[in-house]
Amino acid sequence: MAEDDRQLVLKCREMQEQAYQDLMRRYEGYIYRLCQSFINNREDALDLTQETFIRVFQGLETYQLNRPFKPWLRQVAVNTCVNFLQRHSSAPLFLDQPVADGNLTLADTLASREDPAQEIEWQETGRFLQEAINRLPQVYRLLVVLRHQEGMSYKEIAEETGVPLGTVKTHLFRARAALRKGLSTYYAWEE
Amino acid sequence: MQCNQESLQMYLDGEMDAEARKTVELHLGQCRSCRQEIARLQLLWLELGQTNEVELPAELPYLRQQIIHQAMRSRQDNKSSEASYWDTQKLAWQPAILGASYFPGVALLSTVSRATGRQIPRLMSGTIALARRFVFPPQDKKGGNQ
Repeated sequence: MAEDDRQLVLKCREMQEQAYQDLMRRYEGYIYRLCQSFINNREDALDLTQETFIRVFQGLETYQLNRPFKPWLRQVAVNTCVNFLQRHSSAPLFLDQPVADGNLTLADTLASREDPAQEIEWQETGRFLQEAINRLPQVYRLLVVLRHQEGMSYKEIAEETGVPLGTVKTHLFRARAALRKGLSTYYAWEE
Repeated sequence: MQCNQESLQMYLDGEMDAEARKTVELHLGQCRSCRQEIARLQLLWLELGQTNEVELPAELPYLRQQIIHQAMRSRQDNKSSEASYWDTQKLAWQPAILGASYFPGVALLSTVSRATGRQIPRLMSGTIALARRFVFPPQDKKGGNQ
């Protein structure tokens, strides 16, 4: 029977290598995919996965055993990614002001569609939308992933990312309004 | 209620209290365009909820080994540095303790405590004897003989 996270953490604290192996095998895919969704770059996602786990293992002594492990792990991953975005962004990330693209539309988030090969690739809605999400500003993407993939509430997102609650709402609204407009073009909806 | 995109998004996110939800639902009952809009948003929500199955990179197992090696080494370093901290403290305090032993009187402390220890039983027995004299005054031996 697979050991639960708590038992593995206890064994990690006792420096049992197998416990480290098991804990990482269990969560490395999840953390990599999460970082990849936030950052949309394979190499950066790998670096951030590494940084996340190193931080997690360094902080094992401070982890409270009576709390679930996965949200704690995710919190470390989100903090690591937010720090990364802040380091690589010229302007402060989370202002109450909109990101420079006040009237962002999906057309802005998509690459040129003149390429027929790309046009064929975009036949599938999911893929089309994923491409659009990947081209959203990173802050928007981070919030969209936390809301829709991780199922977190506005309040939880605000707490986990350190973004003010009002900004979470505004950014989410703008991001999804842009994606919604894109779908409208894709499906040729009458407005 | 006016047609409001943001309210519709909050409604779908489940981020409204019961009263606000009721207001939106009443509005949806009366507004065809908002009903159409919420159906479109629901489609978007459905797509956004699909997990993005990104292929895992082949180097992940190698990375795992690296991370574990680094983590274990770092924990070992921490443990050894904790031990050496106390060793350092002991070494740092040694001269002070040695110096204190040269203060005049310090060396006498043990002698005093030993001496007092020996005297205490004698002191106590003397006190008890004195108290007995008051409580049970000694009888006049002469009178007793008469």
